[in-house]
Amino acid sequence: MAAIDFVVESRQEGPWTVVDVQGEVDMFTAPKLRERLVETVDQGRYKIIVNLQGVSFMDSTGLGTLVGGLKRVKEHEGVLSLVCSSRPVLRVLSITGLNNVFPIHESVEQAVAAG
Amino acid sequence: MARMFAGSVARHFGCDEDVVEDVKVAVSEACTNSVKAHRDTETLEPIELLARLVDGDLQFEVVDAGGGIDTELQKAVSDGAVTPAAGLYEGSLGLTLISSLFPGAEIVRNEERGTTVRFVVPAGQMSAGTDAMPSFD
Repeated sequence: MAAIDFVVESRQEGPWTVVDVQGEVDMFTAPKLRERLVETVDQGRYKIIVNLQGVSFMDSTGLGTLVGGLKRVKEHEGVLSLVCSSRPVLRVLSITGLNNVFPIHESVEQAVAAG
Repeated sequence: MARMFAGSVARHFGCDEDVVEDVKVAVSEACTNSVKAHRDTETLEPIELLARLVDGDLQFEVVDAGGGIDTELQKAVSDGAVTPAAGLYEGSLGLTLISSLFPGAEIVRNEERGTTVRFVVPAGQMSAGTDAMPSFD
């Protein structure tokens, strides 16, 4: 089985920066996501949607990266929402209680509409 | 690689996909901690990932030769006191995940050095009628 490439890309949806993530988020790939989130905040963009629809696996390193991103936007009264319907990813968010910390939506459109 | 191995073993023994995913998360967390422990102590020895059948249950074990888990953290994990809200977040979230996914998981400081993480998939969660490990040739 070939490993799925890890890809992080950003795009603008009105006032939101959507960070599309694909692949598996673990200790080896999470730094790429962290770098992108830091870069986004450094550019003065504090409304971020992290789209995890293409993520098949996430461990605590990935969760820690998302929490780090949330802390950064909160310093500027910003928002970091997640888009996710993958059961394994939702499960780790739920076990750690982070499903109560992040707004979680089923699509980017829903996340944008929720404001 | 560790996740693929563990997932393949769990699948071989008929675990459903939810259990397979739980095994992959737990192994990933244990291996991540081990890699960090080896990096912190500049240890070059291999980290062992073992899968074996014990009394019909499927047992996974990750053994490293790093600095060994902090004993206070070990106690907090076994007491269920490590949660994001408890403020012991950094570096301990992975252990919380392992313990939550596999109640009864053992996370112990080895006698000489390093840490062993051990957890079990009960026989009731395996449907395959086999007692042989899969071949990975």
